[in-house]
Amino acid sequence: MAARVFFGQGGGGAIYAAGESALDGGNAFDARARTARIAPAGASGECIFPAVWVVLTWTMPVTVRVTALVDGVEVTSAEIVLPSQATRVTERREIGLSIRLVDAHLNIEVARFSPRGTWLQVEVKTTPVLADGELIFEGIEAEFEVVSESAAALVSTP
Amino acid sequence: MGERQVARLPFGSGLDRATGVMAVEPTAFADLRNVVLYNGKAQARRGMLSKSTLSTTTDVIALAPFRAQGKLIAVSWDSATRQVAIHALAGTGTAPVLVGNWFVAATQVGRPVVIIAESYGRLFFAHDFADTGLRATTYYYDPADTVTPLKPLQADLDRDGTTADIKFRGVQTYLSYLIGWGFGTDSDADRPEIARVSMPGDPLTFVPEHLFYAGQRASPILAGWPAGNTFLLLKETESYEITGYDRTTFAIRPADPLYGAVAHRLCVTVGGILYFWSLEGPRMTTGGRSTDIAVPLDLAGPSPSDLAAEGDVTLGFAYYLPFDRCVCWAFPTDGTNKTREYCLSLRDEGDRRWSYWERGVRILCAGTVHTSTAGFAPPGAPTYNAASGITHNKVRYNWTNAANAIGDETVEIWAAAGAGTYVLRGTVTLNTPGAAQYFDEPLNLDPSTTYNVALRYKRGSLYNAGAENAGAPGSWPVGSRGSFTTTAAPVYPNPNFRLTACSRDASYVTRTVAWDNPAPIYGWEIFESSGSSSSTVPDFGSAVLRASGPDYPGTYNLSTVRQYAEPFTFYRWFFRFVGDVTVYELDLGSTILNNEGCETSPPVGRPDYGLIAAQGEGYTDIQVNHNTPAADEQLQSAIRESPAGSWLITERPVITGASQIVSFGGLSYNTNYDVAFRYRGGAYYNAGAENSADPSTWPALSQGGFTQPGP
Repeated sequence: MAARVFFGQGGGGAIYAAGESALDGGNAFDARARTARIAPAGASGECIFPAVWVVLTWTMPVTVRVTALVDGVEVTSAEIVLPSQATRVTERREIGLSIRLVDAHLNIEVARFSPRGTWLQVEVKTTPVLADGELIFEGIEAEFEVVSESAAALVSTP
Repeated sequence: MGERQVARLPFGSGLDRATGVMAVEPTAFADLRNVVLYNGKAQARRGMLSKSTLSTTTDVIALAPFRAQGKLIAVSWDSATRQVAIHALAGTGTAPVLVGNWFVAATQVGRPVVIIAESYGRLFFAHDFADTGLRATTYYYDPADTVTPLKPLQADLDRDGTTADIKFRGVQTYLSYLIGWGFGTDSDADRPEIARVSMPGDPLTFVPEHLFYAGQRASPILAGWPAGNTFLLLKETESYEITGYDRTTFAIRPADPLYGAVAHRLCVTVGGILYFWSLEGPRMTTGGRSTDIAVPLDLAGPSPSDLAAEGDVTLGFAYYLPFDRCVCWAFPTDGTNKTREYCLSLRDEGDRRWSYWERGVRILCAGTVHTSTAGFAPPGAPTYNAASGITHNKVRYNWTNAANAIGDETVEIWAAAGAGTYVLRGTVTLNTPGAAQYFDEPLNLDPSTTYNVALRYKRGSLYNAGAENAGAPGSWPVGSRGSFTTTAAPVYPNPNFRLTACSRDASYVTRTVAWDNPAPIYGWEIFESSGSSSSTVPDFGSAVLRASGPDYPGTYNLSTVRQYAEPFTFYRWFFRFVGDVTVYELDLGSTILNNEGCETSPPVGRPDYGLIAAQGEGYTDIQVNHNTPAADEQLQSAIRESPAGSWLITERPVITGASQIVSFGGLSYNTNYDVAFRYRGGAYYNAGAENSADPSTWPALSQGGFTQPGP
């Protein structure tokens, strides 16, 4: 026995079968995941975030955009191009996080620094056109270095 | 400087938009779209492929499996004509065939919401609309009936002796029963709190007293779904459960006093657990009180800004994706080309997780078909042989069965007039592989018309190779196709439809009619129309078929139940040969007949008031002078106290002769009386005396008066 799920179109007479295409009736859609905000050093502490690693398993040819946000500000956005595979392949890709230091007079980059802040959030998102095959987001690892611990609680004593 | 550390954030957790930033799990997600959640990973969901398109429709408003047929059933609606139609498709979603039109929705209804349930080889369709006056009759699809597959569900629920259409708001199967709700009787339709239960194993039979009352009268049942070992009837803010397994054990009791469902289509039962959308969002139950599962979605908070808009919650629907193990609630929005969905992953029952899905098209309904791969298609195909017995409207279809046929196939015979649409003419069971077989056309064909014929085998839901598409029989294997041309229409004779005899007894008036039917002998039909007066009997357009036959006798007895007093029923009868467009009325329409006697025209005479023949203690005899009465006519007398008393009409047979004495008794002293007379022959009265309510309008010579003297 095989279960087939069908959908009926609004604004047209089409009958769609679920799971039989990488598109929705010919229209592209994207898959995305944005993590909750984490504060490794606590809400009153600060960290340096040098890099994140994204672990992906795939067979479909697709492009994945990884975006890191520190304290709600987008600091790095990188695209990972995944080629078509005959069988499942699992890889870890590193995304270095950095902020450019630019000489305002010469308008040239003179140095790069890892972003520093409290809250880190990472978003993984495909380009709109998915292809036949599989794409699995396995997980993320975020490297951090605590530079300022959260303040200890103040307790008044008589 | 501290050590460099690593925070691991495995995917697979669900959305959590409700928990505060200081308490949220690091592995939770603020936004998660179009992924299927597993333990420790999230996989991009798959899309959907267009399999077929229904013609002349603007919306597909309902889908349901038809397990007995291995088919998918679709209900369509066209916004211009407001026509709701039912289609049957293969279990693969292809080859749509129009089963028939269901109803035309009133403009106030908008796009109808439809609920479908399958029971014992039939599919039942209910129109989910609160107003019973605008709600459509519940219909059922009976595939065994190839002539009228769609029929209204009917029952005599108010025991008035006549069956009437049932208008359930929703239907659902449970155990061996069909349960329908939201309908009382045809005389008290608006009973939204009633749920009726069919006879076991017979979803077409509803007994009036087999029903449940779910709570207060004004509060409507909105949904009915099995959950655990009970059947839940869900209202807007409460729910009831039916326990037991048959009529002797069935009982109803409150299940959840606080929560119900917004709409029937927002519910789905998976593994005995009912998932439903309440006024506060999604909940789940196995009977009894329900459990909240909506918290992580934070439905009261803002959604992600670029998420597809959410439509009216009452127009949403729920479905279950078996391969992804997800329960999804979809909320389409008119005017957009996307659909927002909330998907609940059930892969880990102890840790149900949410994600958003956005469909790239607007979808209004979902249905799941379980198709078997164990069966296989018919190995051979029927070979068309020349048709025989061709007349102007009949034919015998001939074919030879494939030698390699299995033997359990059925044969479908399709035909199209000229370049018109193919129509299924009939289905027969294959008799012998390798042998000739035929099928006689059951309906009437058009004369002088070439018909294209196509044949195919069917096993279960599968067809012989090349003949899978019911929408294009003209492309089926060439050996299974052919054509024939009907002969010209004959010149039908005038039947001379006439009345040859009339008789009556205590119970019936029987008229014998006859007609000529020279060779060749044609089939015939007699139609009947009736009215309350001789001048209001409608013409052939309102007549109904009274009798029919294939050939002779050439005579027929038309009996009607005899009526002795007003109101009489008047009749017209019509005759035609089958296939003839000309209709002939009995005796060329010169007579209108009735159900009292054999008279065909009013009495020609008139009774005249004569003189007072005698008067005595409380009585007066009046002499009535006759003017050409017929022997079988009645003499009626009317009397009242003058000038404004109530008329009393009595009658007695006419006594042949020049005059007749009519005696009035029980009269009051010293009182003036008005009297009047008339003849009655069958349902007719003499000219001018037709008004039974006011005898003072009868002919003046038929009227008189007298004074009853004192003692």
